[in-house]
Parts: sequence; C-alpha cells; structure tokens
Amino acid sequence: MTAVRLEQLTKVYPTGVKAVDNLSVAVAPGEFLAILGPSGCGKTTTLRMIAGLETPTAGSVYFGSRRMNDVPPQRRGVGLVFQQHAVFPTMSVYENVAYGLRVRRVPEPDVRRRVMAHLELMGLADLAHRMPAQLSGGQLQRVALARALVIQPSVLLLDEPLSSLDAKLRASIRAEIKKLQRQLGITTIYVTHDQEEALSLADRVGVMHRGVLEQVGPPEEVYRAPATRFVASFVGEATILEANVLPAPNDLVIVEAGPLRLEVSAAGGAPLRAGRAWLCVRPEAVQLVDQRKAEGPSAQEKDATDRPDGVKKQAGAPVWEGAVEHLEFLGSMVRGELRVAGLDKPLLFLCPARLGSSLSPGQRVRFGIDPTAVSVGQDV
Amino acid sequence: MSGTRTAEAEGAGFPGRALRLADPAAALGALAVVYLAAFLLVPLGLVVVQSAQILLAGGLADLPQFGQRFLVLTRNSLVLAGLVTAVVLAVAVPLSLLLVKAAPYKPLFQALLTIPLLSPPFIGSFAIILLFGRVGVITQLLQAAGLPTFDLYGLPGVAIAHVIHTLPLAVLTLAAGLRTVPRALEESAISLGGSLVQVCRRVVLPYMAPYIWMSGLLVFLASFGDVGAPLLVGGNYRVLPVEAYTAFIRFNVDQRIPILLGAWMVVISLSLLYLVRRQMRKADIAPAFTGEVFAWASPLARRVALVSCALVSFLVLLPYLAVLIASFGTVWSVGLLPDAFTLRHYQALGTSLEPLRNSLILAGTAAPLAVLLSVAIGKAMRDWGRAGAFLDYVTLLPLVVSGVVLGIGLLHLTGWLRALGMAVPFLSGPGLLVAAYSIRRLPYPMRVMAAAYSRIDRRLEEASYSLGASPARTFWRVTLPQLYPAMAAALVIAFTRIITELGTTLVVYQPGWTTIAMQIFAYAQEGLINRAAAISVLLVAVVAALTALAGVERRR
Repeated sequence: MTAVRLEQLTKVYPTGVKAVDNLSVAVAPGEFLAILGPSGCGKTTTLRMIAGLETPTAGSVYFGSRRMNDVPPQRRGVGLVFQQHAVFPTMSVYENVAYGLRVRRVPEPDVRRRVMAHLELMGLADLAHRMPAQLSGGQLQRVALARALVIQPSVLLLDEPLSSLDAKLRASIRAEIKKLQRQLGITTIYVTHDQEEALSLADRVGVMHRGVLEQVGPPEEVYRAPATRFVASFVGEATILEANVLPAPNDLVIVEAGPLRLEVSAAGGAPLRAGRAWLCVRPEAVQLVDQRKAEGPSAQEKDATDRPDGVKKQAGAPVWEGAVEHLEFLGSMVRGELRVAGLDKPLLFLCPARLGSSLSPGQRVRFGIDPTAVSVGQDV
Repeated sequence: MSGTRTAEAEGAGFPGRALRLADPAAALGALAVVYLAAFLLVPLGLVVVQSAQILLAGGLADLPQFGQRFLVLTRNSLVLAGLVTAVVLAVAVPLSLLLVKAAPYKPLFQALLTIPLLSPPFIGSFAIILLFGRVGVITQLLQAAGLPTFDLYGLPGVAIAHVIHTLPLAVLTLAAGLRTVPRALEESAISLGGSLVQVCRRVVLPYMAPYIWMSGLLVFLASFGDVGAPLLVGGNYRVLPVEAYTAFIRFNVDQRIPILLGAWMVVISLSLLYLVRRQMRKADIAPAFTGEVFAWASPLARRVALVSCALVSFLVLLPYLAVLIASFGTVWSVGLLPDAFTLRHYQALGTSLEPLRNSLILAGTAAPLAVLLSVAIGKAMRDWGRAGAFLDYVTLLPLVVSGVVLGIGLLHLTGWLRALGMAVPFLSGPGLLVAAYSIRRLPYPMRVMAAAYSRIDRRLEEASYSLGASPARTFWRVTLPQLYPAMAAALVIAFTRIITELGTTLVVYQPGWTTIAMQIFAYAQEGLINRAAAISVLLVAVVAALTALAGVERRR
C-alpha cells in the first residue's frame, strides 16, 4: 500500500491552456479517492501526470516518500484503466493479462498462476483464450482491470472506466470495483464526471473545476456542505440563489434571499461575512405542507406531527407560498419547481409521489425549508 | 468489410426495390457498371480467354525456347518486386514510426514525401542515370573515394528507381495506419512496464498489420507492373511487362507471346491481391481511431527522427534535384555540376508544345469522366449490397494489373470488334486513350469518392424520402451537394494521375496523340537527358501547382 501525494501540481500546455492549477492533495495508503468534475476540468490530465504520461509544468508527485517526477511511466508500477478499455486487440485475453508479467520476466509457471488467479477473480476464466473482438464491453473492461491488477500495482488509476458501458453494466462493474478495492486494499484514484459513481465508490471525493481542486472530503460532506458555488451546483441537484448574509449575534447566521429568511448555524467552513452570498437549497430541503390538512394555523400545527417524511417541524417554523411548475413523475417521487415571488429562480423540490400526485401545474402551495439541507457560501 | 456493407444495404431498404429501379442515380450506376465491364473486364477477360485458347491449341510448342525464357522472366519480375518490397518495408516501417511519433516539422516532411507521388515513375529512373550512371555524380564520388562502383543497368538500376519511387507511398500509407492506433493502447502497455521498442513490436505493429500488408502489396504491384524504369535502366534484366510490351509493339511477331505474358501477369497479380486481402481481413481488428497519437517525448527519439526523415527525404528527392539541375545544364559529364547553365532546353520546349496540349486535352476529358464514374460506382457500391462489395474488388483491378496488360486487352478488344465488323467510332484515336485513362486511373478518384460516401449520414437521405422527395430529387439535392468537395479533390487526383500515366499510353498510343509523359520517355530513351529533364520539370510543376491549389481549396 502506497500513499500518493500531489504537491502544487501544475500543467500548462504549449498552447497556453492551464489544465491543472496548483493542485495539492494527499491520498492515504489504501484510500479510494474520486476526482469528480466536468469534461475539460483537468482531472484526466492530473491522472496522466500521476501515471507519468504527462510531464508536470510545476509541482511534484510523490508515491510514499519517493518523488516520482523523473521516474518513467514504465517504472512507476501503476495500474491504469482507461475509458476506452484499451485491451490489446491482437492478443487473447490471457495474453493481455500476461503482458505486464512477461515484460517483467516473471517465470512462465508464475505467469500462468497469477493470470489465471486474476481471470478467476474477475469472472473471466472461461474466456481466457478468446480474442477481444469476441467480448462484450463489460467483459473487455474487466480484462483491462485484470491486466492492471495482475502486476500488483502500488497505485490503481482509473480514468472514467465505466463511461463507455450501458447503465446496467455500469452498476454491476461499479460494485465489482468497490469490492475488489476493499479486498485488495490498493490505493486508488478514480476520475469521473459521474457524481453517482464518485459519491458511491469513494472514501473521499475531490471536486475539480477549471484545473482547481475546489473541495476534497467524504462524499456526504461534499454533498451536505459544498465549499464553493461550483461544488454546490455540480454535486447533486440544487437551486443556487443569490443571497445576503445579515449581521447576527453568536454562531447564528441569517441569510436572506428574496422573501426567504433562514437561520443556519455557521459551524465549520469559512466564517461568513455580512454581504453577498450564495444559498444552495437542495430539493429535499423544500418541504411542501400537506395541502389537504393545511387549513388554518391549528391544522398546520397538527400537520407538523405526521409529515410524510417523518421530520418533525418546530412550532412556528416559517412557511412560504409558491406556484407549482414543471411537474415530473419519477416513480416513487415527484420532482417539480416552485415559482416564488421575489426569488430570482424557481425552487426545485422533490416529494413522495403519494403527496405529489395531487399537485397540478399552476397550483399555489405552501412550503417550509429544512435548514439542515441548506448551505451558504461566499465567492472569494 | 463487405459484411457490414451488405447489412447496411439491406437495412437501408426504405425506398424499396421498385423505387430504386426508377432512381436515375441507380441508372447512372448501371451505366457505369456497363462501362467498367466494357473497358476493364472484357479486355482483361479477352486476354485470359485468348491465352487459354492458345494453351489448348498446343501452346507454344513451335517456340521451344520460350518456356525457358518464360521462367526467367517470371523469376526476374518476382525477384525485382520482392527485393523492392523488402527494402521499402524495411525502411518505411521504422521511418513511419519516427515520422508520426517523434519527428518535428511533420507537415514539411509529409509535403516533401508527396512530391514523388505526383510525378511519373520514370522521371526517377532517368534521374538516377544522372546520379548512378557511368559518369553519374554519385559514381564519380564513389570513384574519388576509392570505393567500388556498380553497373547501374540491370537489376540494381531498376530496383533503386522503384525503391525511390515507392518509398514515399509506403511511408505515407503506414503513417496513416499508425494514426489509427489508439493512444490508450500504447499508454497501457507502457504503464505495464513495456519499453518503447517492445511496445512497438508487441502492440503497435500487430495492430497496424493490415496497413503493412496493404503498403507491401501496393509497392510489390507497382514494381511488378512497371514498364518505364526497366525499359530505361533495365539493360539485359528483362521483366514480364517489358517483354509483353516489346513483343506487342513488334506487330510482325507472334501475338501469342504478349497475350500469354499478359494473362500470366493477371494471374499472378490477382492471386497476390487475393492472398493479401485474406491476410488483411484476418488482421482487420478495429474501427479507425481518430484521436491523439501517442508521441515519443524523448529528445533522443526526436533527434533520430529528424535525422532519418531528413536523410530519407533527401535521398528520395535527390533524383528530382538532379532533374532540375540537368534541365538548366549543358553537358553534364565530369564534375558535380553541369559544365554550364542555359535556358536552351526550356526554349526548345516552346517549339513543341503539342505533347503538353495533347496531355491537357486527354487528361481534361478523362479525369471528369473518371470522377463521374466514381460518383456513380460509389453510390452503387454503397447501395447494392453484395454486388457493391464485388464492385469494390473490380475497381481495384486497374491498380493491381499492369497498365501494359490493360492496354493490350483494350487493343485486342478493338481488333476483335473490328473483326466482327463493328467499328465503334469512340474506340479509335483519342477516344480510345480517354477510355483507357478513365479506367486505368479510376482507383484513385474511386478511393476518394468511396470515403466520401461512407462519411455521408444515411439518415439525411431517409429524412428526404420521408418528406416525400423522389430518389432523383434526394440524390440531386441531398446526396450530391455533400459530395462536391470530394469530387473536386477526386478530379485533381484523377487529372494528375492520368497526366503521368505511361504503361497503358505506350501500348494504346494513337498517331498524332503523343503525350507529355511519352515525350519525356522518348527523349530519355534517345539520351536527350536535358530535354527530358526540362519537360519533366514542366510536368511536375503543373501537377504540383494543381495539387497545391486543391489543398488550398480543401482547407477553405
């Protein structure tokens, strides 16, 4: 198990494009880090610099305590899996997996044993003598994985390994990758633009935008407490509102966006100054008041005790009113937008289908906001 | 390859069979197929059938020495083409790797290597007389250095001429193949610990095997079928096409010999095509990839690449440099340069512009005809399922079979028709030359148009049908406009290939229609090297200017 440390890694292409900008991150031995970002954010370039396929313009790559910058890719001992699987089409499955051992001059009986063990591990043992052209996309990706793992790499690097597969295969191979990584305890860096993959697989997720790693943290933290406006909008669904932080006593922060006035606790993160800010409202934060029961203040009190999602609402929590737009039926849930007078954009909401099925476009509804599913930040 | 095309054609059955018959584009395709049959399949078929008749009639029992000679000629031809192919591949494979993966100034080297492709093969042959001949510059240098010299005339001369002429073609074909290797393959192999050399051997070369087979085949057939270089510098080293040609033009001689030799060459060429295609299909593994190429970053590789690309470009272009110098020179006997310089040879050209005029007229007629054929056949190849796949083979034939054989076949066709009492007006004089050219150089525009058709999205045509447009209207308004740029490119390629054609021209020659290529060849044979050089410079200049113009047009 090897720790990977990137220190102020920067890559500027000859064209002047700054693909990676002063990126630092430390990956613990055996840790699974996902780098998440839109295409062109520099995540693949970062991975390629770790693999030694690109030369950093500045900064360093460390494996453990060893600086790797001048180590050629052949001697880094990384396992690399690409989006386009890159299985050698002229070699059989067996030969593909054996390739890395053959160049290491591993004795033939050992080659055989290790290749077969890894084919077994990936459920490919029956296909050992097939040619790649006879395999499906999912099988090819497993061959690529077996080929990368058989050399017992110190670090496993995966570049969007699932994006060329269809949804069902994606889910099953995702589960396999997770299981293998736990089993082998190999330090893994996984690059993807798919947040579901990143959030479900990784111990920590790094969100990258325009060459900069904007936030690194456990998946839940990245989702619940996005550090930047970009992270808030890229990870998960959210309505990002322009807001104002009002001066307030103690740890309390009062944020105002149009008619919304929320009290959020300022625990963790950078302290907020009074002034302009962004407010990230997750769809699940918008809680519709059950319309059938929402008549009069007493009804509202009663409503608070048996809300469908079970969250007890504090007495006296504020309620606003908005008009329903764009309803989408998603099976168990209904997704929609609420247009609220005074807000610069409609609020996304998500509610259980049995509640949402009674809604119709244009209908006016009342809603509350769960302050724990809301986050606030300021642009630097 | 043919399998997918068949499936596509069946899948695209939307307009239906009845509609398709009413399709004027399909009618055009049918016409083109008739043309192909008349001027390609029937002439070659005649040669083969007549040779079978000769063999059935007892062969050449009355010419007992011929059997021996036949074996020698075949051996000579195969040795020459095999040697040229081996040398060219041995140089071209590593050179294309260096060019694509490491060389600086790639566009420059690409452009330099294109020059020999634009000129007739025999310009290189008489140029190497200037370099390696008895008083050639290099021969003199070798003598001065006390090194042994060799006799150019014979196998060495022809082989050098063919290597120099076909090397750029092989390098450029292989370079195109190398660009189809996905970068991720090599990066995977490297990160698994493979060295550059090992990755090339185990991953890159197996991947591009089809391209190696392809360029090997092209080089072999070009050398096997060429008549110009062996006539000029072959000396006593006789090869099949030369023997067929010389036996053919001596009309008083038994016509059975050229027929038999021609049929024999068709058999050899087609067997080779069949074998190589089978190998290519076996190796045909992956769809073309058009992404970034895995580059060798090491400064050493860059330096090696620069030096070797520069060296090969220089060697390949040296004959053309010699031609350029000779065209301005007076007597070039002893010394590294001619004794004096003059414009006399160019002035002499002014008095006999007729060959240039003839060439422009013939190529100007045959090239549009060839493009029209390619447009019609390209559509048929795409739409006709299995028959289309067969057309794919047929249109390769002119590239595979020696131009001499095609010429012999065409003349036998006209002779046969005349014997039947049918004098087809089109088939004498310049008409026959135009027909010969449009067939002989068809593979070049054909390749451009086939590629253009494969890039067209079939759904556009289907959308047009669904909007109620007839097949004619769809072809005219939707399909054809998408082909215009490719047609322009195909026209230039057809024109330049036709104007540099020699093998068929020599055989099919019609009185009063000496072409510029024939003129160069005649001067070179008569030893009027400077004159041949001047007219060659003119020809290469015309062709290069046209190609450059087409390049500018394409970029726009």
